[in-house]
Amino acid sequence: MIGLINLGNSNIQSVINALDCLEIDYFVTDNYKDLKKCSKIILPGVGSFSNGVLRLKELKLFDSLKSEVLTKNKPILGICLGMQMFFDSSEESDGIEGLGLVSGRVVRLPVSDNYKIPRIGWADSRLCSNFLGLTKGQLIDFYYVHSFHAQPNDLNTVVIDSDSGIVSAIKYKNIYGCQFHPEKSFKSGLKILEEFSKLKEKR
Amino acid sequence: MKKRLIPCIFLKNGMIVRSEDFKIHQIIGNPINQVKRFSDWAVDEIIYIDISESNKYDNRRDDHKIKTSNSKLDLLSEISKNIFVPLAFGGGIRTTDDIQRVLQMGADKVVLNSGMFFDDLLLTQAVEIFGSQALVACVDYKDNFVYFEHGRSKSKYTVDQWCSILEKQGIGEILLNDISRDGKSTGYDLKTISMIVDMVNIPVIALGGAGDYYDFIECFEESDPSAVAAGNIFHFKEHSYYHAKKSLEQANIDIRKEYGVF
Repeated sequence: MIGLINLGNSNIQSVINALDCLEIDYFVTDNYKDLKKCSKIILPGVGSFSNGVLRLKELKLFDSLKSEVLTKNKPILGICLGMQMFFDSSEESDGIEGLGLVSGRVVRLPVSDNYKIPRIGWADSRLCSNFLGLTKGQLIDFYYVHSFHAQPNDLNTVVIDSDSGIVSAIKYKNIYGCQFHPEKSFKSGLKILEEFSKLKEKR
Repeated sequence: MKKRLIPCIFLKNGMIVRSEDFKIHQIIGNPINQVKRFSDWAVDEIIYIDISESNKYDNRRDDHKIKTSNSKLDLLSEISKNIFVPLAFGGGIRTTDDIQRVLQMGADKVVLNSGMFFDDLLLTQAVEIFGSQALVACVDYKDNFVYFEHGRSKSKYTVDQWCSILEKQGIGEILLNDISRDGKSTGYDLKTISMIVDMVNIPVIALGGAGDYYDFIECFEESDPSAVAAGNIFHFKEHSYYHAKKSLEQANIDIRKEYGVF
């Protein structure tokens, strides 16, 4: 069963709709005690990095998430800000520590002629590795809404990139993150959620 | 970023309407079926604007085999269940609580308009709570002046003044709507769109005046907005979204080339 984390301000309804449509079992929670009951976790998120981290701490999810993911090796999928919070810090919120599940930091998107900021819309995204049902080499349009992106220290963790260098998805051990919104990226996005739901928990 | 083509749905009292001049509203049909159809067509995004003046909702017509939805938000919630592309919702948003409710009902973005004229602080507060990315400003204009309350009230701002204020206050995108072209099929207001696209550093969505697919191509080529939106054309022409996308593809506009079923 997937535990879908509700931080309050984020729009989890879209994720709920997608999981319902795929007939995936999940429950919505903001209670850290519930984390023990789930075998996988989805962490969506919108808004600022500091707000997100603050909510995680207020709800006592910050430490419990870390332990479920790092000690119990439960697969976790972070979406947008959810993924950004996996990292150590963000330029968006100086002095605020992220979950530190993946080593690296979140930085402002570079200025480019290819997009405006916030970078909103569909962008060709390149699979650098296989990722949740999608095959290396594929070029897929995903839907993005963001002003920041992650910079992992280990570039091997980058599994999808777009616009020559924007980190679109990462995978590190049992940790999966999408900067784009799979729940809003039509068939390929739904495929990602479906494959994530089928992952086996590592013991 | 790919250029986006966005169907815009106007709802009045629970039914989709065709709009002309902001005054004539001809009932076209039931929104739930139509929005589902758009989603099946793999549209890039959907903008859904409720222009009801009262809270009277009537979609209990027996020619549509769907559940009755009694309020705007119920309808939104029903619609969002079948949408796996971005959905923006507007109409009657006055407070940050309204925004919160709309996002909770499954919208990804909220379209603000008159609310920003009634409350100077609405946008700033909304940006703080929800972030720019969740907020779209609909700028209705006529003869270079911005109007609100369904085009009835004239504001003191010219289009460029207002867009510049919105950008400073942190709006995520601007939906630029030429009132005088509403339902007229005369093509887009290329001059104003170009002016705003050149002026602001945020995405601009052009609306108002699309009569055929060439209007989309022309708008992208001449004015370079991030997206073009249209309402009526997608309701009255058979498989119009598909054909519009194909026309854009043939004109070498950099669009998302994913085609759904229909």
